Amino acid sequence: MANIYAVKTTVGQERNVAEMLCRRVEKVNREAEELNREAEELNHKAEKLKLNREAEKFNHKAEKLKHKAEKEKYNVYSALVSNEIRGYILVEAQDKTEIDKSLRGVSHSRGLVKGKIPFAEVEKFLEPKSIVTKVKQGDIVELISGPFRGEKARVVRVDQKKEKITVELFEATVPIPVTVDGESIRVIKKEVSEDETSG
Amino acid sequence: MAKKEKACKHCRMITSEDTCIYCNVNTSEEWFGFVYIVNPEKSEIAQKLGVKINGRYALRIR
Repeated sequence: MANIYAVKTTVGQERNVAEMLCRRVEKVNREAEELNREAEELNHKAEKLKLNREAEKFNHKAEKLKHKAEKEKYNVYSALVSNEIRGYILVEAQDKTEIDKSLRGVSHSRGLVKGKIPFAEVEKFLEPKSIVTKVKQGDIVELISGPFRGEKARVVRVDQKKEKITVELFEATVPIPVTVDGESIRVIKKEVSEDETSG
Repeated sequence: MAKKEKACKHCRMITSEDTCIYCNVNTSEEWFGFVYIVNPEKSEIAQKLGVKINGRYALRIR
């Protein structure tokens, strides 16, 4: 049974941490598989031998190798990076100690967060919705990429299909509508709807 | 210069090629979210995503 835990990382380095962690796990597991193969070869050799004592020796050695392989193996299954949670990655593993073991020495990782994360919580990150679905006309947003990075603007039109947003920059002397990608904005202030103001 | 990473529109695997090596489908440069599957048999996330090969996958592709 797999358990999911959150690992704290440096902001902006989430993907690097996930990749480094998983590459290391893959490497160590490959080495463990190699040990298992060696152990099987020894077992095979022991079967061929007629002398019981020699065979026993080989079997014993094989057993030792298998034990070492099992001990060295990292039971980490996957790592997830979501745009919605900055500074954290989600790691799926057999248990907490497996992640602790595999995280040792991975740069930009800042330790494990206590407590398991239920799978139902993770499911929403598996089908990320575009930010465009949450943006409404009149919202105040900040552009986070492109030539107008850092500028604040008001949303004038939302194209859900193409995931594009048309905004009017506050700083511009002449209000020219600029169409930007849905992923290059951050909502600062939601427009207060009429029902909320009256109620 | 490093080649830009793309994701397969069908299986979501991240690659630098224009077509996916597994499904022969066009890849897209616009993808979001990232998941690295190490053990697809034991991973619940992999099962939910329908992933059977270990590797790097995108969560959403446009």
